Amino acid sequence: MGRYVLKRLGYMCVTFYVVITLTFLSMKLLPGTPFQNPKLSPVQINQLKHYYGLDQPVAVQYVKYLWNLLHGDMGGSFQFGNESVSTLLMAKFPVSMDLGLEAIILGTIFGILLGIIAGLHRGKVLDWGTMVFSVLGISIPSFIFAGVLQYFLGVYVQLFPVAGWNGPSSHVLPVISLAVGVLAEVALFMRTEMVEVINQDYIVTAQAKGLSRAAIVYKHAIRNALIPVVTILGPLTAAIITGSLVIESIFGIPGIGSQYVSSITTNDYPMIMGTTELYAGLFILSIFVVDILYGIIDPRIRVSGGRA
Amino acid sequence: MAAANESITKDMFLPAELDQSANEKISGEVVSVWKDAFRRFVQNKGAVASLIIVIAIVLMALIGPHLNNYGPTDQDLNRSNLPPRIAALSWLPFFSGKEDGIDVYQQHGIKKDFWFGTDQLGRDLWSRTWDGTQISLIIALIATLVDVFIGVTYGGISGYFGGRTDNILQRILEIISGIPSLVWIILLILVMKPGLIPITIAIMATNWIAMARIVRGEMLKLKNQEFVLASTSLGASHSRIIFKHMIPNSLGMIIINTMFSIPSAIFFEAFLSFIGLGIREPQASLGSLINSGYEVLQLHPYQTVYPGLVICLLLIAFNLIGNGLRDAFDPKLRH
Amino acid sequence: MKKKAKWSLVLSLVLALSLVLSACGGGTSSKKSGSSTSLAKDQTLNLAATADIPTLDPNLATDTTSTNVIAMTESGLTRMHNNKYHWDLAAGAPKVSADKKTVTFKLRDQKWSDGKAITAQDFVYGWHRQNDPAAKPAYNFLFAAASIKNAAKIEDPTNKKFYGKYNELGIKALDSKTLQITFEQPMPPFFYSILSQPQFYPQRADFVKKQGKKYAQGASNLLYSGPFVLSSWNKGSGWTYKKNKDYWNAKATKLNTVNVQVQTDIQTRVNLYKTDKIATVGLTGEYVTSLKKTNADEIHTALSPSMFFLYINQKTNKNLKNLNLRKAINAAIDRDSFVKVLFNDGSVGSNYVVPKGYAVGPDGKDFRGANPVSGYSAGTAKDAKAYWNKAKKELGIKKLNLNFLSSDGAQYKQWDSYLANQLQKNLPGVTVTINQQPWANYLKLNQSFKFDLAFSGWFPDYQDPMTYLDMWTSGNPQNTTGWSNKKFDSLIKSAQTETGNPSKRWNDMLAAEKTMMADYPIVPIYQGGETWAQKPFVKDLSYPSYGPQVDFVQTYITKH
Repeated sequence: MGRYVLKRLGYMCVTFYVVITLTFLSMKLLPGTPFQNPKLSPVQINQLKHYYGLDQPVAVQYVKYLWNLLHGDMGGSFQFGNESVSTLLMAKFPVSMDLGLEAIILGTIFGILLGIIAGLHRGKVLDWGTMVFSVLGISIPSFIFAGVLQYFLGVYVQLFPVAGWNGPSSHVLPVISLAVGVLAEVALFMRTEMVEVINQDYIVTAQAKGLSRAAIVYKHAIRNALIPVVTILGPLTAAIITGSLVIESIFGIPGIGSQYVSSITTNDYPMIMGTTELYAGLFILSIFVVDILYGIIDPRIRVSGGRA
Repeated sequence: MAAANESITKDMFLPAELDQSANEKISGEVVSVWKDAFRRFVQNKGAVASLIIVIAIVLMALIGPHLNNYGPTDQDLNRSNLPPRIAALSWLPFFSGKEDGIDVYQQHGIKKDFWFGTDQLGRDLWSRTWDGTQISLIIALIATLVDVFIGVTYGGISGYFGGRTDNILQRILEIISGIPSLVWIILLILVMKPGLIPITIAIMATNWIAMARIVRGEMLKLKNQEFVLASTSLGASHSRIIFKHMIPNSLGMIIINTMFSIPSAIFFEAFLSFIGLGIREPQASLGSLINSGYEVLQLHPYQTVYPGLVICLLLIAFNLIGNGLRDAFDPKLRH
Repeated sequence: MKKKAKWSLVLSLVLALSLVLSACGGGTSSKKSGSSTSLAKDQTLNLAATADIPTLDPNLATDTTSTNVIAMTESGLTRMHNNKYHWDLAAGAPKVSADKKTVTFKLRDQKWSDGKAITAQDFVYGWHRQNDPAAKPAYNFLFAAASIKNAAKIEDPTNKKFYGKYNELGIKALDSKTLQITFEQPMPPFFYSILSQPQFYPQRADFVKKQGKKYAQGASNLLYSGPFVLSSWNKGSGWTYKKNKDYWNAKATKLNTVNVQVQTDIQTRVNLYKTDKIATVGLTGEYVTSLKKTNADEIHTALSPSMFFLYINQKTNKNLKNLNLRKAINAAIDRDSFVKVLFNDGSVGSNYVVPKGYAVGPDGKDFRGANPVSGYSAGTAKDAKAYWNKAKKELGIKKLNLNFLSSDGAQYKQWDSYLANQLQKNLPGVTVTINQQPWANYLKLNQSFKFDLAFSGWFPDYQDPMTYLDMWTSGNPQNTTGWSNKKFDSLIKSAQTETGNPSKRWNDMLAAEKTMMADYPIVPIYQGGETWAQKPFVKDLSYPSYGPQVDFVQTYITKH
């Protein structure tokens, strides 16, 4: 196990390096310059490029970037008066992570519960209800939920703040808006798995042995049904932490989501690189964690991944 | 004579002709997997109803825009932001042509009906909704096909063979998904000009990854199960094991995930509209309609509701069909 | 999209129009009716901004948010209030030499927020730093536009002798309280108002050097000299101003605290306004109609000096060289319905280059009063067809494809669709393909003439019609139409050099606009307007057409 983890860590570094390189190269393909004041003359733009070292050969820029990165320097943002990218990310990322994690935790817990209930009552009213609710959750975009929640609970009833990110009450609306999608997706997966697991031979065996229904559901069914849910949770976590962009802008939450889009549209290379690295790092890490979790939840899957 | 020959003698019997093959004969009607699946699918009322809904929506997407006289891109600012009105149903509040108690049609002096209302530019939302459904269905169709073909093959190979193959394929997957799709899309759009093709390519390029991961997970789970071991020891080939045993057994997950890739494709397109990179005006998609509706959600909710309703119906229907299919193909439920 | 050049080609209308701290609008809200006029105990103003502050370094600031914050927290020689300049750190009108080429200011006593006095040397350093290429100035062309001695040469990288030699700039500290400025030619009429811009503010040499890279990166990395100090700046979520008690005119400042929160979504801002969390909100389109229904007496409207138009590329598209075709395009668009239905915020359809209500001539009349108020319309949809038929004959074509370039963004979709539809409807045979591109690529395509029509906007740099006119001279990098007219060029040249004769200069500019619009090198679409809702207890909050975006220096809150 220890050796496997080390090996995977090595792979993670290689993957990460390739991502950095590819992102760096794609930055060079973006048309236009980061200097988007149309009143700058071409000569002035060349001057600015020179100050920021953008007129050097790509290879030189690349090596310089890697070197600085190794020393923890991600460069300065063009959008924000050359402020260091790492400072900006450090300030905004925790907020996005808070929002994302709260939504994931809420969505997963309720999603799993709903999925179990639906799976155990297959074909009955409870199952149908859960299904319809989940499909609605997936098919209505989160910004519509957010808009409706904001209007009714924020403006009409004035139960929760309309926007902002200070104090627990301001978390309620954005977290719910974001969690609905997670909940729906998890619930549907969980239900499918439960239905499948319950028909497996070992469940029948367990029933034949005279185990109580609760014991079967708890000890055998749920544990086996959780595996695919873990699979979707990994990428979902990374995606939701960075992808809460729309929710962030609706509720005025100072996270990295909306900033990411503006950095792409303004060719803020260091900021795009920094955010992409953070995102990719998270994603790679989450896959790693999921693979390790696989082994813990389902002992039949050897983490070495070798042929059976 | 009958009484005289009461005793039963040996020569009265002949050995029955024993045909070895008769033992193997199937007494019931021979039903192929597909036929059986079809039979069971038809029995599932929810699934059949959903299938009818999907067909109806597809038909509406094709003929809907031609059912009235307004083209999906015809503008007229005199009829901007009209709420829905259907003369025959005007006793229903949703189709009365009134907003906040004011008859907007009367206000603007409009005689004709707009069944789903109009948007800010005075474009008929009925035509636009069905036109947009067409576009969204095309996007969803491509995304689904790609999901199934690339995702299942990739995930299947990766999970089944494991070891080094799995390792390499998984690392490639991590790299592809490590770079946010937004970056790829922006590059694509800058090169190809915004429109249906770059959007579809962008969705294609990133959408199959979830499927590949799930199929791989299923493969990892299945390949240690007894029936696969049995098949392997009987000398079945890799492709036979994958396609005859493992994929049919993962069909449930594959179908369910396909059902997710449809909304995720539709909403990825909607998200692109949200940040201004979606389908090119004046074309519409369900996603872009919902997006522009969102901007006036509190003022003119009907602009969001109808395209939203079509999406919801589509997705619920796809889900029920998916469930029906899964049950139909589930070998454990055969009877 | 957050960071756009300040008064410049601002395509990001999305922001410009939905601004809460809105873009320039004319006039003030001086509604006195309603609540009482006695001061409330709590003088706190809550606002929402559409974007975070990109930078507070006056060298880098080019956008409206940054310049607004700098204008509220720092001081220059003059300060704009209600569209008029007032002496700020200048202790009254300066001494002007007979040839109008030298101006000498006496400075008022004012301290930096660290207690040291502001000296003439601080101004000299500030101006020098703005012209030092190493300090990456983004808007230093204003010095050349104001005809400051040697500024144009210092900013020109091809000038080997002067480039970067900021010591040669026409500014000198005669003593710690006396500042002398010299010009290339007689002082331009807009000189006193341009002094209110952050580029012309003093900066402190020792502080800038000590801070190094950290300069202006946070609320504590700056020295303040204005009516307010920035007490906190939480990146991404907002910032807070506190009254500067040491400001020389502190008695005129009533507000103690101004809280600004960043909210990018207009629906959210309107909801915040409705729930009394912010005191004013900028509105556009449907929100105007809706709030007019519910909060009618809180709605205010003003005209802004932002001009929106389409570039017509006649450089690489030979069809567009045809005047009748350009006239047909100009006449085909119904501008009034466009602004009425899609904006409804006080914007007006335009057929002119220099906006209404922005610049006043030596005769005291508005530029648009002297030149036709409604501009130079090419006619109605009927005329458009006639021109189009003529053009078809002259060019020998039946059909025409036009590539319509625009920036991306949700609102643009509607606007682009409308404009494209108007052309296709009124000019049968014309097909318009909309090409929405992210801003950076828009600029690239626009500057490399890869478009037929391009949706664009222009915000003024100084309070003078010239800021709208000189960009159309032959070969000007902003003139991405390929249009060139010798008469126009010479009129502009003479107006630029004749700063000594204001009325001739004015007439030259009037003639220049007329000359230009006879050729229809562009399609003027509309002049921007501004509509906002403001709580009745907020008084003297202004959205001037020139100066800070939103001016709350003398705002006060009445009891409510």
